[in-house]
Amino acid sequence: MPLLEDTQRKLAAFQAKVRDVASTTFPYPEAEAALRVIEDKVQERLDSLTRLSGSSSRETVVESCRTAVQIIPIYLPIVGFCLRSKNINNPLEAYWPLLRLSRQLAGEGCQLILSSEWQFSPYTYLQVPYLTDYVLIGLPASESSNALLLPLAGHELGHTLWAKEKCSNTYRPHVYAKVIDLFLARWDDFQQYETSLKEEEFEGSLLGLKYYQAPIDWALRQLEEVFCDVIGLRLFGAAYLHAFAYFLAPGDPAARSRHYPHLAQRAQYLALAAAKFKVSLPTSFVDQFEEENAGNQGLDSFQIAIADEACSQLVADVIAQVNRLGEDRSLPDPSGEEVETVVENFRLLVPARSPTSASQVLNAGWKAHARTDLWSEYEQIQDDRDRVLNELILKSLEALEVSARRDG
Amino acid sequence: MLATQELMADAVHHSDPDLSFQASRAAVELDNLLNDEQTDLTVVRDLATALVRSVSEGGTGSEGRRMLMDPSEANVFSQAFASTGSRSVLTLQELVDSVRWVAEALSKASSDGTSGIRALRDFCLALSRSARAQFAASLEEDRPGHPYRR
Repeated sequence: MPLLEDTQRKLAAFQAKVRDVASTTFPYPEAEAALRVIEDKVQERLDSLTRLSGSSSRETVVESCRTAVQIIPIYLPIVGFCLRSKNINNPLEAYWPLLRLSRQLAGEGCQLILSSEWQFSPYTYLQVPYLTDYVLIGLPASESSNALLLPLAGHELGHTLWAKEKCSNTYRPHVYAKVIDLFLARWDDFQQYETSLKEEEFEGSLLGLKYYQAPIDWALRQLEEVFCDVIGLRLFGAAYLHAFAYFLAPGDPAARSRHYPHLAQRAQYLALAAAKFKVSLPTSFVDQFEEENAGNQGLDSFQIAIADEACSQLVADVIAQVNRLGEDRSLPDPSGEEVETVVENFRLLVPARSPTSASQVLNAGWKAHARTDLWSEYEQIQDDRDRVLNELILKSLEALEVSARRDG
Repeated sequence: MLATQELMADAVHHSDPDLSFQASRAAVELDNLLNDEQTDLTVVRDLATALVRSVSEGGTGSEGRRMLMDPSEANVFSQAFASTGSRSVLTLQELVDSVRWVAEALSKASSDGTSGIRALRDFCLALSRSARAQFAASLEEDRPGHPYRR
């Protein structure tokens, strides 16, 4: 059976690569531990193939080989992610403060791997099977050393919290109800696409499911992204909004994903949450994002509109939930008070003297960044302002970790 | 305020590649049973338990609508039934009943019912395929594209 033998070879080659990467030196133990888990799971796939025999049906052999190799495309990028976590361009100074924050949010068992991606998008791997305690955050390689963008990690941590709190299970029945109700409320429009269904049969029929399953998935995914934005805001206050705008404004109307609310809408949801958390909105924050229209037509556009509306109707619940989570976990106040002392430290070209949180340091960083007169008296660093500020922020995060370890 | 519901705790999940792996391993066990090569049906029994959980826990939205099962999982199961053609399933209630029926059959599978075993094996293979297809589809939208990558 060459198919079976080839499948075994592919799995063995993958396992060897995982072992090879795991045997190198990492700055923290989480990456190696994750690789060992992957190695064990590959072995499980290899073992499963030994149960096939010469008399197994062809169909069974084919399907077993397909499902066994499925592990490779899922985990090969994660092996690469772990390998890149060693790169010195990653902001290692921020690793431990972010790890503490991850554990404050998602519990002591939470493991963090911070790496870079060769994609121009901050990234997290979500609830990877067998690695569900791991938070894998990747920043675009070209920005991975930019400390001002670290608040975007708050969004990625939000995905971990969403899974940890089983928010999909909480919201799915509500999204389901909203989507069904929206289809029924727009029944005349829907009949352009399907005439054989009766209103009273829509919800319970498999033909109806064909139309409403995707909008339910999209609305739930959109709601998760809103939750993550609001978590980022709750963790880092205005610094999250600045980083969000730097990275995403003005948005590309042609590139909208169904899994996200359109960007102008995300900004408006953030503005609502900012009001709730008493965070000052940066000037013209919402106006920086342009209204997006993905250019979808027909049924697709109809379904996306329903997903958007269902998500929108649950945003207030998400903001209230994040507010409660913040209180339960005693997260630092995101309103941005107490950052002026750190801004003053930065003005004097020294790291924060007694930083109290990563949020404080990063908000001070953005405030200093916005000051056009910062270091105007130091001609020798005028052309190197961003790098110097970046170093001060990273050193301050290091000082924060030193204080945390000293104070136990 | 929304109530947190502990749904589908250990049930199958369409976004988990383990479902297709579990279903294909169950098919191997049933295949071996058909070939008189083994009688260990551990994975078959585990799959039966997971299927029962999937259809035992729905949820009610704040508007009072009752969700019989996760729509994405319903899609996976309906595709599996459609491809085997073993049962006519047109409504969600029939789908829930059919999944329960298959779970019951899997939990009682033994070497003395050859034709039933063959049908169960075919269902497991179909379930593995439809779960894999759904998993791949769920990844498609998220995969960052590159304009010059093929």
